[in-house]
Order: sequence, then C-alpha cells, then structure tokens
Amino acid sequence: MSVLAQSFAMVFDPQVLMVMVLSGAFGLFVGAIPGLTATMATALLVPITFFMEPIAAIAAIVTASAMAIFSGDIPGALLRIPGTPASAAYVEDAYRMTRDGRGQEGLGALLVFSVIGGVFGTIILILASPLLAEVALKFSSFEYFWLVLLGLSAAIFVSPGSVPRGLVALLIGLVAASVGMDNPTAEPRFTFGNVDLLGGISFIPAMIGLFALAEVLRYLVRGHKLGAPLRPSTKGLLRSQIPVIRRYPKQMLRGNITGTLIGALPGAGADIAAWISYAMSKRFSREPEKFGTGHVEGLVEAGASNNAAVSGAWIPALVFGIPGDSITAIVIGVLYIKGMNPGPTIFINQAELINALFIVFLLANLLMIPLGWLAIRASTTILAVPQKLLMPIITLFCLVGAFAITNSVFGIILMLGFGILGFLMEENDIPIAPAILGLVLGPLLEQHFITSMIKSDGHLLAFFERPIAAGLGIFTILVWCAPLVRRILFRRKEALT
Amino acid sequence: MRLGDRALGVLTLLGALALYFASRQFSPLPGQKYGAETLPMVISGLAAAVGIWLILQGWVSERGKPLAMVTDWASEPAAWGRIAAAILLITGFILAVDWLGFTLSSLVLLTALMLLTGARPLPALALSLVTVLVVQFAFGRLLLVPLPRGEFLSLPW
Amino acid sequence: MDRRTVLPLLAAAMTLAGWASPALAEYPERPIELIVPWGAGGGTDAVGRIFGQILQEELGKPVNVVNRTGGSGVVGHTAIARAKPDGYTIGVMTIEIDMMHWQGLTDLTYQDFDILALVNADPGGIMVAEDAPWKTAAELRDAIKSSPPGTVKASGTGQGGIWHLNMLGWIMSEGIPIDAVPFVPSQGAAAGLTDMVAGGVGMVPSSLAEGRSLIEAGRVRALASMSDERQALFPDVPTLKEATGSDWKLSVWRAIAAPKDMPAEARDKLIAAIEKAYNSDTYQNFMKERGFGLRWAGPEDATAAVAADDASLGEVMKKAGLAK
Repeated sequence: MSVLAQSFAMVFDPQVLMVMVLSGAFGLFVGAIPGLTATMATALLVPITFFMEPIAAIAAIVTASAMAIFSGDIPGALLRIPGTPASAAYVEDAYRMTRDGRGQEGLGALLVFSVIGGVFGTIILILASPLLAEVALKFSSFEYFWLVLLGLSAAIFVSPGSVPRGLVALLIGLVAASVGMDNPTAEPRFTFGNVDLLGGISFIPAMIGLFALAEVLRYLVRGHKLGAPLRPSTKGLLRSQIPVIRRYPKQMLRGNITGTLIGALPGAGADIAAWISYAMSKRFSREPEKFGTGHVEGLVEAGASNNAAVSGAWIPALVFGIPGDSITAIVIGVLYIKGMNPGPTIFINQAELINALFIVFLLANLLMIPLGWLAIRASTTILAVPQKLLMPIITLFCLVGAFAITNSVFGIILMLGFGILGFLMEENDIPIAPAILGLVLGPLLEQHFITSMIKSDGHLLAFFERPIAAGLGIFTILVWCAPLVRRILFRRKEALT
Repeated sequence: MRLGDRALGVLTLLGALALYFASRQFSPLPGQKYGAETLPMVISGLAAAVGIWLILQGWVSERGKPLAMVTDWASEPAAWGRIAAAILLITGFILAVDWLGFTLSSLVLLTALMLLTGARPLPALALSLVTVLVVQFAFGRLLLVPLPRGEFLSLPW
Repeated sequence: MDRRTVLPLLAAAMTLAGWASPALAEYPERPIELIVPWGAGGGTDAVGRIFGQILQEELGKPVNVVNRTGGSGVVGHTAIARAKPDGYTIGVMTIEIDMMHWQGLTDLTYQDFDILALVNADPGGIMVAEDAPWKTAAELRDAIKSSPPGTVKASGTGQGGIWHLNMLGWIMSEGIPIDAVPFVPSQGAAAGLTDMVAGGVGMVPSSLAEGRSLIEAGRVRALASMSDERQALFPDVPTLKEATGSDWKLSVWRAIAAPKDMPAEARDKLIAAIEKAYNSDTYQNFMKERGFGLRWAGPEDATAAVAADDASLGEVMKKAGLAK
C-alpha cells in the first residue's frame, strides 16, 4: 500500500471521524462562549487525548481549535461580544450587518471565508512548511518590533471618524497594557500593591467589558429607542457568498496569504493577522468610508486571515517544535506523547502520520461548513428572545466569561471597569477597536523594543541592520508617510493646474 | 454628555502629565538606557501630542460652541437611575459571590436586571432560574470553570 | 407551629446539613481544585493536567485544573496559600516561590505552604546555536572571560527569571563578573531559543528538554547539564562538573502543595494518592515521552529541598542586585 493510501485509511476510520465530529461540536460550543478561548478548548481536550490513537488525538485538537476560532465570530456578529481578540478586529462591521438585517450575509461571509482561509493555510502548510519555517526562524526581536509597530499603525486606519479620537483610544489601551509586572524588566507598574494587578490586565475580560457590557449599558439608557436586531435566516447562507467571492477575490487572496505568513511566525498569531488584514483591506479599498458601518469587505479579508493563521502556526511547530501560538504550544506536547517528535525529519520518517495529519486538517476545515451552518442556525435563535430579557442574560454571560479567564472575581471587576469605560468612550465618539489593539500589542511592542535595545547595546540603528528588519522598517515608515506624501503630490498637482 | 475636542484635549493632556509623574519612579535596567519607564514615558509623550492636537482642532472648529454637549438621554433621570442600578447590582454581585455562591447571587442579579429592563416579575424569576441552572451546568460542570460554591447552598455538581 | 412539627423538621434539617458537611463525610466528597500558577499550554500546566487526571482516578472525585496566571507566578501561588485548608484546593508549586519574596513582590515564602511532594525536576543546561564558535562549555567560559563584557548575551526567561539566575550562578561559580553576560528577557525558553537560532543572543541557559526538538533538528548544541549525572534523554551531553569543573547545580522542580493546616485525614489521603499517581505507568511514561525529568520526594524531603534552593537562589539574587 502506498504511503498516501495508508494515510487515508488512518483518517477515514469510523472512530477518527466520530472523534472529529464530536470535538468539532465541542470546539464550536466553547468558541462561541465569550471568555472561553480556543486555547481553553484545546487544554480541556488534552486529558482525553491521552487515551486515543495518535491520529485521533491530533484530529480532535485540530478540529476543535479550527472550529473555536470560527465560532468566536458568531457572538460578535449577533451580540457584539467578540469571542476572541482575533474577531474583535471586524466585530463592528459584523454586528452592524446583523442590526441592519443583513446578518445572513455577514455570518455567511464569516463562515465561508474562515473555511477558505483554513484550507489555504493548510495547502501552504503541506507545500511549503520547511521553507517557511526557515524564514520564520530568521525573525528576531528587531523584525518583530517592526511587525508590531505596523500592527499598531492599523489603529489609525481602523478608527472611523476623527483621527485624534482614535489615537486617544489607542493610548487608553497602551496605558492599560503597561499595568503589572509581566513586562521585560519585571518591575511592577501601577499595581498599587495589589496582587491581582501584578498579573496585569487580561485583555479578554477587558474586551468583554468594552464591547458587550458597554452595549448592555447603552441599551439601559436608550435601548427602547434603537429597536432589536432582526434574526438572520440561514436560508441560502452559503449561496449568498458566491457573489461576494466574485466581488472580492483579491481581498480574499490577500487575507489568505497575510494570515498564513503571520501565523507561521512564532511570535505573532491570528490576532495580529486579523488586525493587519482588516487595516490593509480598508487602506486599499475603493470604499474605505463604508468600513465600520456594516461592510462585508473587511470580513472577507480579515475573516480569511485569522483562520489561515491558525493553520500557519503549525508550520514552525511541526518543523522545529516551536509553538506558533498558544494552541500549538499544547499540541507540541501531545505530539511528543504520541511519539511524533517534531523536527525536519518528521516529514520523511513519519510520512504516513504527517500525511494523515494534513488530511485531517483539510477535513476539519471542510467539516466546518455543515457544523458551522448548524451552529449559526442554533445560535441565531437567541435573537428571538426579547431584548429586555436578552440583555440581562448577556450580562450574566459577560460575568461568567470574565470569571473564566482569571478563574477569580478579579476578572469580573476588570470587566465592569472596562464596561463603564467603553460606555463613556462611545458616548464621546472614541472608537473601541484601537483600545483593544493597544492592549493586545502594547506588551509585545515594549518587549521587542527593550530586548532589541539590550542586544544592540542601545544603538537605534540596529533596527535597520538586519535585512528583513530593514525591509519591514522601511515599509512601516512608508505606510506612515504615505498620506503625507500623497497630500504633497496632490497640492503640487493642484498648483500646476 | 459628549465632550468637545477642547475639553477632551485638556483631559488627555492632564492624563499625559499624570502618567509622566507616575513613571518617574521607575528605573532603567542596570547598565541600560531603557527599562520599565520607557513605554509609559513614550505613551505620555504621545498623549501630550494628541491632547495639543485636539485642543488646536477644537480651537478652530468649535469656536463659540460649549465645551461639552448634553446628549438626549442625559436629561432623563430614569436613564441615569437604570445605569446606576445596573452598575450597583454588578458591584454587589462581585462583593457577594464568594460568600453567597454563584447560584444564589446570579439568580438575584439576573432577576433584578430583568425587572430593571421592564420584564414582569414572575416570568423574570422563572427565566432567571432556568438560565442560571443551565449556565451553572454548562460552565461549572462541563467546562470545569470553578464557579464559587458559597457558604450554604451548593448544588450537587 | 407547635413543637411536635418543629422538632422533626429541625432534626431533618440537621441530618441534611450533616450529610452535606464535609467534616462528617469521608474525604473527598466533592471535586478538588488543582491550581496551576502558569498558563494553559506550558510545561507546568501539562504536569498539572496529567497529575490531575491520575489523582482523579485515585481519589474517585473530579480533580479540576484551574489556571491562575500572572505576575511571574505570584497570583497563583497566593491563591494556593490563601485557599481554605480543607483539602479541596491544592496546587502545583514551582521554583519561583523561592525567588518572588527576595524580589520584594510578596511576603509569601515556601513556609506558608504544606508541601506534599516533589514530582518532577529538570536540570538547567547550557545551549548555543549550532553555528556558534564554541564546541564545549569550557570554550564558552574562556570566551566570556577573555572578551569584553557583553560579547556573549543570554536569554531564556524574563528579567530575574530562573534561567537568568542559572546563568548568573554558573558564571559566578567560574569567577566571572556578573556584568560580563547581559541577559535579554524573553517570554519563556522557546522564545529565547528561537532568538538564539535567529542570531539574536549567544546562549540559552534553560533546561535541555525545552530545546529538545531544536537539538534533534541540528540547530542547537547542548554543552552542559547542571545535574549530578548525565540525563537519560541526552547521554552525550556532559554534566557541568565534567565540562568545566564548576560545582554549580540547579534544577527547576514542580511540587504539589496545599495551604497550611489541612485536616490530617485529607492530608494523609492526598499524600498516599499523590505517591501512587507518581508511580503510575501513565505518569512515568508521560514524563519520559515529554522529556521531563522524574524526581520524587515526600513531604519532609521536599520541604528540605525547597528550603535549600531558597537559600542558594537568595544568595545569587543578592549578589546580582536582583533582591530587594
């Protein structure tokens, strides 16, 4: 029997298939609940995988994590509670679409482009793993510094309306990010002697507060005047995406590639991928003014990007045993236990296992279509509940979700504080998204800056000494200067005519 | 209440100052020029710049307008009451949950919130009970979230 | 209501209350929480989860792993020490407990815990990139000695983290001044190793298990192991004593600890169950396959070992100016 036939036989075993369906349903469930992350889904599965065959164990984790990342989008679209920081990038658009009665189109796009992104990432994983892993290994703190800075500049592009108000939001996020002692110097900052604050501000409780609790508070002051969002129908959910694919093929491809490449970097994952893709989408769009008001274009690019990143994260994990994100960190442990030691030789020595793993990846992403469709169908029933009952229930979910992250009341306190902050910010037209971005990327920016400075003995020019770093640095500076340059060129043209 | 650019600018500038003074106590790493104070200092510098930007922008575009606008809901005392009640209820939940346990405190919170949004008492209580039990089972039992048990009533799971 | 109805009701209520109270029932009669002070996906989390799984079979009640992360372990360790000492909250203690109080982050020390057992230990090591000029630990030491300070840099944990101290302890034992090797903080050993392979730093003094896949891929060379004997998984890597003659030794360990003053019945049952779990095939195989080191010590020996590390780490931290 050829190696490939052997691999197929391993995967298309009734037991493995059943494990995939069950863990897929589990992943969808966990991912759709705010506060429970894809990482949590994976960690909860690990003890069960001890008793499984290698392929079944890997299949369970791959399926659950892929589904969880997608289903994080569902509560974002329905209730404005992003399930993961990766879905926070485009939650405003997805939620507005549901409010405007176009929920079917929005949810369909999230599902279809998640699948496309996941499949694309898998194909790259199959074809180019060793090569891409080599490139990823060339990334040190200098390169990551520029990448993070590029991600932060996305704040300016993603904030609708006034630019300085967007920057105020970014600064709020950055200040929150500097709390605690988990910074490169390990010096406690702004903790006021509190043990819980030593650990800093976890961004998921903060995110739940800023988006979801703020929405509840807003409902309390003027909800009855806004009216309830319509319950999206699932009829033609998938078919409605064919014109979208036709309309935005370039965006889709760009999201796929960006997501896979960023995912393959050990120091960057689905979060950064989604933000950069969303910003890129808006930057190059023909109708950037529509972003943030319920426009599908950003969902296409960023939705594909974060799922592609999930597959991409496996590239350094398989080739060098270096986790690309917190999910693959758990996976590497499971691989060792199952005797599949990661390394460049895994592709040769254990070809049938690796091929089986690739097949599992493709299958898991395809399984997302029927399972995701069912999940959307089941979860949209929540919008049939009258708002005056739904809003209190959402509050309870916010509390439990925030609690589940820190496993203590501290998460709820954070959530409440940020909920009030989020309410005040929106009252003042200060966008939420840049604050999340600052909170997620602030610690990375600081870490890569400080470590780079230690390595280069304080020489700032070191940020341009390595070829990839120099390229990324020049690109970032160009992105910053582009509006300025364009304005100058525009003026000159005006002067000429 | 919506703050105009000038008022928000002044607030941002004050925040920048506070941050600057708070970060002066941090020190660079031994033998380095940078350390724990670098990021807060950079943020404070940026905040100062953004604050000045806002003030200048407000100076030009908001001439003759008030510093802040009163939004439509802010003139309704009932709206203020509802939002204050919700915040107080959640605060009460935070204080009581370890002692009262998740089941009881969330039941009280949920019913009270539903009354606040205008639901009728009996359906509110019934729906709250069902929701709390489902949440407790799903999170506590299936997903192993260690929800506080409380001192007296604790369900068998 | 007269007395005839009240009394039986009262009696019934008391029976119910008695049935529900843990003091009368046999331990354990409800799920046990196992606090892990580090995040899901890390090595401590993996050890905690496998241990929880086996303990669950031994004790017949669910053992739920609860991650309480942040503040370099301060948050989680505080949660373990401050839990109700009823036997229903235990936790995984890590070597950071011997460091955090020296740093002035908390007043908490190992003395605030009832240490039930030591279940794992991983010796520190010295790793360099495969294309580095140093083939042995002695060559690396001489290179550090003869070049200007800062030529070789190290990474692998946060500032003042355990591998930072490991590196400091080693170079101090070789008579090298502590500012000779600047330390570049990183988010864990994997990040430090990646940075080393990318050419960012010269050495990573973390445990060899953490570099296993890169060593096997031929990207990283292991120069020494800070243990008494060579490690089974890396038979070709000399101990530090063999490599340079230094007496410095350091292992990171993981212990199962509980808050002080547990009821004796619960304590005895837990210790017996932990020992059984440690000796189970599941645990032994798991640890071997993950490349984690096995080490057993009962309550007294474990406490003594933790105390010894507390003293030696405190000394290094004071000399390095990391203690407050």
